[in-house]
Amino acid sequence: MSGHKVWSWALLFALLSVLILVLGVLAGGSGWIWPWSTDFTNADGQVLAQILWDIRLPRGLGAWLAGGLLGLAGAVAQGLFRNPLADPYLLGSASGASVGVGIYLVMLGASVADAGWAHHVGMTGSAFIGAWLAVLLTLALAGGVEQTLRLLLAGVVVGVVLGALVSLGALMRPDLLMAMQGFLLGSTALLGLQACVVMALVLVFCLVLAWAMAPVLDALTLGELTAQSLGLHMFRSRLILIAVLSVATGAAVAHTGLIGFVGLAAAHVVRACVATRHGALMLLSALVGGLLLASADLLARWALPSQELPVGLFTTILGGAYLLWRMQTLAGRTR
Amino acid sequence: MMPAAESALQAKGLCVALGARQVISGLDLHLPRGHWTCVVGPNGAGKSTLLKALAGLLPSEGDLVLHGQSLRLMDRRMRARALSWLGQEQAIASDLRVYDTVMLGRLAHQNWFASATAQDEAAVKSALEALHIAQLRDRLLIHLSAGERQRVLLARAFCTGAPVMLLDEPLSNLDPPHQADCLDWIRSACVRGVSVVTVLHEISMALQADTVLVLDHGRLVHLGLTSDVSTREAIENVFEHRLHIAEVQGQWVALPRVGTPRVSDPR
Repeated sequence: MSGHKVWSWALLFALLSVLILVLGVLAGGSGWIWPWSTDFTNADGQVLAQILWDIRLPRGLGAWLAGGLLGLAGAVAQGLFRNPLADPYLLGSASGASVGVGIYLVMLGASVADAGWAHHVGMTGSAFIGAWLAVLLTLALAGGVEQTLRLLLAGVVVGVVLGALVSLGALMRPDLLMAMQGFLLGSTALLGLQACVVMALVLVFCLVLAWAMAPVLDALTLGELTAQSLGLHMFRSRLILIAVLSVATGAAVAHTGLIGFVGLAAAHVVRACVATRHGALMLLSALVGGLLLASADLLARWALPSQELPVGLFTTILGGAYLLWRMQTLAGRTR
Repeated sequence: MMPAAESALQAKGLCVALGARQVISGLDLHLPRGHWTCVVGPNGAGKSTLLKALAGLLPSEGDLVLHGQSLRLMDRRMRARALSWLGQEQAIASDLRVYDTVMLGRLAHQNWFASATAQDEAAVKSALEALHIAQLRDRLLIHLSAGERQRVLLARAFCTGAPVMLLDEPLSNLDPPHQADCLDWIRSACVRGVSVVTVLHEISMALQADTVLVLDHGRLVHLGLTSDVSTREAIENVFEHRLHIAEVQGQWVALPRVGTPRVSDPR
C-alpha cells in the first residue's frame, strides 16, 4: 500500500517539476518565447533559440538538479543525525565553501566585474574544495565519524569559526563582500550545460549510494546500538553516508552558492505527504528539493519585471513559510 | 545446582569498563541452550551493561563463546542472525511504520538491494500476531502508546529467528495481559531450543525464569535454578532483605518489605 503511494507521489513531483521546467524555458527576463510559433531559421530566431536552449533550459535544469542534491543531502543529514532540524550544511560545508570563494577572490584580485566563464569555474572549484576541506576539518575535530554528538558539535564549531573568518575578510576588504554577495545569497543565473552534466552525474551517484545505505538509516531510528545489533557495519556506513552528504552538498553549493531551507524543508514536505522508509524518503526528497529550487528560480525571474532577485531569497521565504505552517499544524495536533 | 546442559552462550573472565569505571569484573557465565535466564540485581549493578557486552555491543575483555564459536571473530551479519538484542533505547522519534520497524529484525537475513523474502514476511507476520499488533501494521511508531511501541520492538526482536535472545526489560510499559503474552512467547521459544536472557526489575516476573543470575556491583553473586532455595536467598540478600519471596498458589512472588513509619520523623 505504501509502495503505491510512494510511486504516486514520485510521479506527481516529477510531473510538477516538468511543468516548472517548461514554464522556466518559456518565460524569462526577455519575455515569453513560444517555440512552436517562432521561426528559428532567421537571425532573430537563432538568438531566441540560444536564449531558450543555451540559457533558460540549462538554468532551470541546473536549479532542479542543485535542489535535488540539497533535498537528498537534507534527508541523509536528518536520518544520520536523527534530528529533523539537520540540514546539509551541518558539517560546516557552507562556511567552508564561503571561505574557499573568499580566498579565490582575494588571491586573484577578482571583482564583481569578472563575470566570465573562467571566473565562474574558479568560483565553483574553490567553493567545492572549501566545502570538502571544512567537512574534513569537522571529521578531524570529531575524531572520526563514530560519535554523532561530537560530529554535530565539531560541525557547529567549524561553521562558526569559518563564518567569522568570512566576516573578518569582508570587514577588511569590503569590495570582497560585494563580489561574494551572489554566492552568499545563492544564484542560479550562471548555470550552464556543463554544470548540469556534473550535477546530474553526482546526483545519480549519490542516489545509488544513499539507496544502498537506506536500511542503515531505517535501523538508526531505533538507536545506535540496535542498528549495530542488526549486523550493520556502522563505521563504514557512516563514512559512506557522510561522503554522500558532503559530495551532494559540495556539488550544489559550488554551482549555486548558499541556498537555504531547500535541504531542510524537502524531507519535511515528503514526510507530510507519505510515511515511508528512508530509501523512498531520500528519492522523494531529491524530487521535492528539485521542485522547490526550480520553483524559486522561476519566482526569482518573474517576481519583478526587468529585475532578477536572488534565488536564495525565495527558497528562504518558501521554505520558512512552509516550516512555519507545518509547525502550526503539528502544534494543533498535539494540543 | 545448575544442570549440565549444552552451552548456548559462555563468558569467561568478562570485564567491561565504561570510562574509568569498571562495571563488570571478571564474570564467568554459562547459559544453557533452551533455557530462560533472568538477570536481577540492584540499580547500577551492571545488568544492562552485561547484556550489551554479551551481545558484543560494548568493548569488553575476556572470552565470549556463542554456540562454540568466538563471538568476537564472528562476522557481523552472522552474529546478528545468531543473537538478537533488545535494549531499553526508546524509539519515540521513529517515523517508521510498525511493519517496517518489525521487518528491520530480518535485516541480517536480507541481501543489499534485495526485497524481503516469503520467509521474512512469514517471520514478521508471526511476530505481529504473537504480540497482537497485526492491526497496527500500517501505523507510525510515533503515533503509538508506550505499551504498543514496546510490543512492536519486542516483535522486531522476536522475528529475527535467532537462537539466542538478550532482552533488556522486555516487559516495561506492558499491561498484565501483554506481559503474559510476552512470557508465553519466551516459554514457547525456550521449548523450541532458543536461549533467552532477560533483565527484569520486577522480581516476581524474574522468578518465572528457569535460572536466575544475581548481579551486584558488576560481580556474579549467584547463578542457580529458580526452584533452589539458595537462589531466592541470594535475591533477598542482594536487595538487603527489603523484599520477601513467598509462594502464592504455586508461584514465587516477591513482596516488598515496607518499613513502619518512624514516629521521630520531623514531618
